[in-house]
Amino acid sequence: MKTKHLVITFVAIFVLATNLNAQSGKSNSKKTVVFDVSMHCESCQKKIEKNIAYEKGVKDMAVKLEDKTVTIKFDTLKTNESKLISAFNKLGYEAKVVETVPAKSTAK
Amino acid sequence: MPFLCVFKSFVNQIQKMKKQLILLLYLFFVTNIFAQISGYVKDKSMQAVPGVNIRWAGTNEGTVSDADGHFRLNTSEDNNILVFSNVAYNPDSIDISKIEKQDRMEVILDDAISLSEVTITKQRLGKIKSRTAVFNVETLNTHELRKAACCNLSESFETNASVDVSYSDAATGAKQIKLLGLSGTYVQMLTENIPNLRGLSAAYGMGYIPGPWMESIQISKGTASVKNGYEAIAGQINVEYKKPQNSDKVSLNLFTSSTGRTEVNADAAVKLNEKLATSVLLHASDEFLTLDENKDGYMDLPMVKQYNLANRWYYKNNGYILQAFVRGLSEKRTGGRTDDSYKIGVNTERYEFFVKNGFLFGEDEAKHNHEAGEEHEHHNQSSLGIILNGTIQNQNARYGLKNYDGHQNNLYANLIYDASFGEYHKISTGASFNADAIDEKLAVNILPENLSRTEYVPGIFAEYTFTRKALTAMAGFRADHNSVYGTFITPRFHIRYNILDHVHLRASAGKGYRSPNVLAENNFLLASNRKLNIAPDLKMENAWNYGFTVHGFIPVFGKELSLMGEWFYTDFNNQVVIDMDTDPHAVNFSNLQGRSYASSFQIEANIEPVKGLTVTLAHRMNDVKTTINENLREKPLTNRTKSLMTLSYQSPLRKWQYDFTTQFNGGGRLPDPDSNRPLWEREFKPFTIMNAQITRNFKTWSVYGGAENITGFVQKNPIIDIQNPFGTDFDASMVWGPMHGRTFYLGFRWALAKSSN
Repeated sequence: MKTKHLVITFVAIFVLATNLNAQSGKSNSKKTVVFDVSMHCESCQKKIEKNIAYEKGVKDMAVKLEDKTVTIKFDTLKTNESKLISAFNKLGYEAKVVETVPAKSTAK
Repeated sequence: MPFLCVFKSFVNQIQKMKKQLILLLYLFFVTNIFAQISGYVKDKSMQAVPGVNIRWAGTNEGTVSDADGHFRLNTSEDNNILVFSNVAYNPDSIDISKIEKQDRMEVILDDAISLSEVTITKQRLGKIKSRTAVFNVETLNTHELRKAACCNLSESFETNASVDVSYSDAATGAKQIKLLGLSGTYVQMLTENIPNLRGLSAAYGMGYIPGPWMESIQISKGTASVKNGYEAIAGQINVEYKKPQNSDKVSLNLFTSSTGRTEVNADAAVKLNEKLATSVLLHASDEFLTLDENKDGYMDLPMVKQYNLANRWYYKNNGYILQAFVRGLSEKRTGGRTDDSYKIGVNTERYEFFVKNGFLFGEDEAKHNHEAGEEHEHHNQSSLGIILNGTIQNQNARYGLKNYDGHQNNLYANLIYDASFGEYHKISTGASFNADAIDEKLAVNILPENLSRTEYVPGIFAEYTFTRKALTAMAGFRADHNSVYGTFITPRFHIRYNILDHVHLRASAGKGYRSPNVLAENNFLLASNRKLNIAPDLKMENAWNYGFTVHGFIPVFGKELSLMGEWFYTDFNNQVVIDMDTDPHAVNFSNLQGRSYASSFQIEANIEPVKGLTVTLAHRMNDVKTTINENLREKPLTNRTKSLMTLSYQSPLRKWQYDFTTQFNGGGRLPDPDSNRPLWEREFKPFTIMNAQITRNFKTWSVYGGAENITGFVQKNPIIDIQNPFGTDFDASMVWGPMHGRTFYLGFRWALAKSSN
């Protein structure tokens, strides 16, 4: 019986953690922007994923090597497009904004 | 009959899904008619593979991967099976209807010298079941291995449904694995596709491979390819170490746990020039605390001190690849009574080396083809692999008043020639030589002389693979001559057929053999005062293994549910039966007289219901019986069932990772107690183990913390007649559950990534 309770508790914690993470972006200060980035290889993708993820204000991102695009969801109170572009430059990549995704959709 | 029921409901489900499937496929084709697909081909060492023929199955339309392994081609209207072939690698195919068009394919071809597998790293699932390999192969990559971050190979299977790990006894801390309900000795262990951890190292070998050294583990159930020998009976487990050509420049791992275990792992890789790279791997661990939670006067876990150092080299020049590896290990294990009146000590020293040479022929032609454009002819290509491996192990063990000293020298050579003829046919052939010299001394009983022995085994093998569209068929044979046991033939057959795009079938039948190493493999039994009776005429063990797997990928609300059902049956012709039933004060080792089998049925479901969350549910039923003293009996200390649930959640940006595993272990039989004066039960009850871990990743480092055995379940009174370690009843081998309660651990990882390009 004890075990059953424990299992349930852990599942509950999991669901909670998942929801928390999913709902953290409730405010209006979130913005999703697609960047065109000069990357060519798998390791570039990994480098970008690893580094841009830790830029201030970045909430979610998706890197598509095929289209050479990086879609970033960020908090406009903490960062902006030009700051993110300079973060790309620091890693050695050119970047420019291609489009701003309307507020409701999220980075996938 | 549960198998039939499951199969039926499986078929029903597929029928229900059919409409949905057709619609999905239709949508796919409409949106993809003029699309192009592209990708990148690499080998297991993450090196780009140029010159791979890529074409739509059954056509001449296609392309060749360029010098950097990249490729791009137009999608085909009526074909979605893409075939990859290059003689140095196992041919494979990918069903691209499973891949969204914007996804870039990353295709990992497997060296022809190893197990076959293709991986699409579309999602970052830690566990990858190959969809195209002819074998039932499951790969655990670094991501999966980090889910249960403590400590070495024996702990790597905690989140895996197929492999069980348990303590061999209550005193030595030795761990053994079980696959398909059979003990680890029936599983062929490989490191970098070379047989390893055999004989003397079988008892404690699971602890010889530090977790942070491993890049991936491949688990293959049933008899595998004949290229690696005849020893796989229940299956094969291969460990790939980190490689100098693709590792981080420097990485460091520190670990500590509430049981006093402290570890330092470090490795460094240097690319000396375009062709040459080297790396050093280091591990040191120690257990500082004397643990006796249940206050029975015996340590719950022994104190183990280990030093482990390896150096490896990689050289690549045109069609030649050289890999070399040396390693030294020293381990000191102390257990027994906390007051030192009964002591267990095992000291081990081990040295290993291997050299692998690979020659590829016909690569230039493939490059030429590429320059000529997409139109090309298929050339017959071939490759040659030469592998040399050596091991020396010295072990001095003391169990109370008994001393056991073992010494093993091993030399292994394997030569493999692979050639492909046209698009569909591939032949591998070669010769191997294995020499084992095992020297054992036991100071208690008088040993039959032939337990110290030398075996020479030359062998030849051939394997034919036919691949066409949804079908792969493989037939392999080998003939070996063992200087002690004579000549024997090993046939093995594998077939894979995709009856539907989303339903794959695999079947296999094959034979496996092994030489018994009774004392070396069971020397933990000396932690009991059972008398060892070893029959003087022990023969080689041999068995047929049959396997059948159905693997379905079912779309459920836009997600993919992977559902797998498998059944494996091992039928022994001869087995060294370990009889602990006939006499509760003895262990008898003798040849099988009658039937012995292991039947294992498993279902497993995997799904990612929410982005980042993966769920695995699995259930297994074992039926393992052996004829003991003329009665067909259930194998003792074997769980009848096992269920596993793993939940794993990764936050967006992969900063947080939560892992939770629950194992429900079924009950089973214990060896017969003394009927006049029973000192233990006849059965053990089911029990549950829970583990959880949280990881926080930062740019260059991460911290992780977790708990093992959260409920704190321990086997009560694991040592029989604990007060009299020198009496005839004393027995620490009646172990079926954990020895130690809840354990917390904390670890730190730091890496300096290799520069990109």
